[in-house]
Amino acid sequence: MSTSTDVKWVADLRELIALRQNDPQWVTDMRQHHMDLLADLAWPERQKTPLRGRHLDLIPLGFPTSPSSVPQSLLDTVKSPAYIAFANGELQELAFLDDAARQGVIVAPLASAVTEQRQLVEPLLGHIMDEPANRAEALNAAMWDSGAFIHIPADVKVLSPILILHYADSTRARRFVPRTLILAGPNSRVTVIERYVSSAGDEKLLFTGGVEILAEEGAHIHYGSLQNLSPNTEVFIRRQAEVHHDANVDWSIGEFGGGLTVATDKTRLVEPGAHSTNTMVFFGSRSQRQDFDTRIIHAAPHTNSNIVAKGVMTDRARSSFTGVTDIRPGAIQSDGRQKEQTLMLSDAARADAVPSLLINENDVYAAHSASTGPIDKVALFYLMARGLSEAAATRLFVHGFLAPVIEAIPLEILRNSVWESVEGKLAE
Amino acid sequence: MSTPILEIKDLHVEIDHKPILNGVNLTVKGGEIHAVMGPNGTGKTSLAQTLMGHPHYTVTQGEVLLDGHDVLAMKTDVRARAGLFLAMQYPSEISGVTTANFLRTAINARRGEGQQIPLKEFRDKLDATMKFLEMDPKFSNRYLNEGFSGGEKKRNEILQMLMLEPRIAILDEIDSGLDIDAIKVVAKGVNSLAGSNFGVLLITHYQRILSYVKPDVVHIMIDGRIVKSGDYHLAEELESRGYEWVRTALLDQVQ
Repeated sequence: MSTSTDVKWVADLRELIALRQNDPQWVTDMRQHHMDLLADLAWPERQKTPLRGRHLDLIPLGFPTSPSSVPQSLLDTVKSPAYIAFANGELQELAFLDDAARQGVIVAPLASAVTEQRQLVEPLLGHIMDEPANRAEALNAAMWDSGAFIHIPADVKVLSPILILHYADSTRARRFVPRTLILAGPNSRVTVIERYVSSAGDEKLLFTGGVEILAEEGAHIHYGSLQNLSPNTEVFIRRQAEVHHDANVDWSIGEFGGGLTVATDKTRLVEPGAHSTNTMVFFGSRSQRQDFDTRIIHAAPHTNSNIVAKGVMTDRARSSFTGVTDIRPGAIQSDGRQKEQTLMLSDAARADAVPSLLINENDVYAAHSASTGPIDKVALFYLMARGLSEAAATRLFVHGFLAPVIEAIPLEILRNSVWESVEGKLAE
Repeated sequence: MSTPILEIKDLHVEIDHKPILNGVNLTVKGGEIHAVMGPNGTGKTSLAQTLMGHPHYTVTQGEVLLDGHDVLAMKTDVRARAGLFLAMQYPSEISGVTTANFLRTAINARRGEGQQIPLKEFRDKLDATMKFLEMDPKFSNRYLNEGFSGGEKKRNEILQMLMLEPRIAILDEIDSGLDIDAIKVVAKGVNSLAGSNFGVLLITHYQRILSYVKPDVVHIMIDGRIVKSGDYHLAEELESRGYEWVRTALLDQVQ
C-alpha cells in the first residue's frame, strides 16, 4: 500500500470519529491518539499465518455502516434475565435483572458508560490491555462502537450469567468493532458470555474486537466467548485480564467462524493467590486460517494457571496455537500448566501447536504437552462395525475428543451453544 | 426376517502384500454355531477382520455373500446394518463417548430415519441386558472401553451384540483372558440369541468355551486355510492331541 492511500484511509477514519458526537472529550482524545498510531503500525505478524495476500488494507472501513437488527432466532438464544444485544454497532436490546441493579451492578453499553460511569471507566479503558501493538488493535482502540461495560460491586454475587450478543449484517457493514470492559470488585462473582455472529456476505468484513477484564481481590469471573462469524469475516480479537490477590479469571473460548482468525489472549496474575484457567475449543474447516496466541503471566508468588486447548481441523483448514506460560522472577511456588491437542480429519488440514514455558524462578511447577494427529482409523472401523456411517462415526469420535473440554464448561447455555457450533461444523 | 446365510468362497487376503488367507471356504447359516480353531498367526483374526471390512486387509480373490449379496462390495457400516457383527479381539477405546450413547447411536443407525428407539425403551433394554450379563450399571456411563480391563471389554462386546441383535455374529477370541465365570457369562449371552435367525462364527484358541457354546461344526485353520472340519469331537481331539498333531497329520493329508 502506498503512503498516499494510507493517508486517505486514515483521514476517512478520522472523519468517522469526528461524527461520533456523543463521545466525551476524553474518549475522542483517546480515539485520536490511537488513530495517530495507526499508520505506523503493521498488521499482526504471525509466523505460521501470513497475512500478506489477504488485502486487509483494501477493506473499505470508511464504508458507512447502516442500521440493522439481530435476527429474532439469534436474539432468542441470548434472552435471559441479563442480556445486551448489539446490531451493526448499535444497541438493540438491553434487559437487566432488577435485584442486581439494586445491588449496584452495572450492565451498560460502553458507549454510554464512558459518560455516565466515567469515574469507573476512564482509569481502566485501554489500561488493562497493553498499548496497541499492531494495526488491528489500534483500529479497535480508535474505532470501537458496540460492547458493554459491566461492573460488579464488592461482595455482590450475580447468579445468572450476563450475555452479550454482537451481530453484524454483512450487507450493511464492512467493519465490526466491539469492545467490552468488565470490572469485578473485591469478592464479587460474575459470569459473562459474549457471542459474535455475522451474516454471510460477498464482501469482506473486518472484525477487530477487544475485551478487558479486571478481577479485584477475591473476585471470581468466568468469561465465555463464542465466535461464529461468517467466512467473509477477517477476525482479530484481543482479550486481556488482570487478576489480583486470590482472584480468579476462568476463560472458556470457542473459536469457530471467520475466514481468518488471529486471537491474542493474555492474563496477568499480578498478586499472590491469583488464578486463571484458559480453555479454548477451535474448529477450522474449508480454507479457514486460525492463529491463537495465549499467554498467562505469573508476576506474583503462589499463582496458578492452566491452558487447555482442543482443536479440530478439516478440509484445507490450518491452525497454529502458541501457548506461553511465563513465570517471572519472584513468582515462587507458582504452578503453570498447558495442554494442547489437535485432531485432523483430513490429509490436507494442518495444525501446529507450540507450547512454551518461560521460567525465571526456581521454586515453581510447570508442565506442558502438545499433540497433533489424524483421526484413528481403527477406532473409526470399530464404530462403523456397529453400523455407524463414516460421517456418524467421525462425528461421534470428534464429540468424544472434545467432550472432556466442552463438558467441563460450567455453564449449560454456553456448553450447548459450543456443541451446536461443533455440530454445525461437522454438518458443513 | 429370513434365516441368514453367510458364504465364504475361496477367500484370499493379503496384508501389506503378504498373503494371509489362502482360499477359505465356509458357510454359516442361521441356527448354526461354527467354531474356527487353530494356532496363533494362522489367519483366524484376519478372516474375522476381513469379513467386517477392516481397512488394513486386501481381498485378492474369492467372494463373501450374505443372503446372496456381495459383502465385499459393502462398506463396513453397511455390512453391520445388513446384520453382520464382529466382537473384536482388541476393541478400540473411544474417549469421551459413553457406552450408552454409543449403543443408542448404533441402534438408531440400524433403524434409520424416523424409526429411532424411544429413550425409555432403550434404557430398559440396556438395563435388562446389563443385568443379564452381570455388569455393573455404571459401565454404561463410562467412556467406551476406556480403562476397561480385558474381561470388561469382552463383556462389553457381548453387551453390544445383545443390544444390536445381529443375524450373523463373528466372535474373535471372545474367551481370551477370561476366567471361567466370565466365560460362562459370555456363553450365556451368545446362547440367549440362539435361533434360526442367528448364526455364529466363533473363533477361538481353546476348547474351553466350547463346553458352554456348543458348536455344530468345528473347523481347524492352519496357514490361512481350513484344513479339517468336523463335529464337536474334533475340538476335543484337538485339545488332547495339540496343534502339532494337526500340523503334521492334517497338513500331510491335504497335500
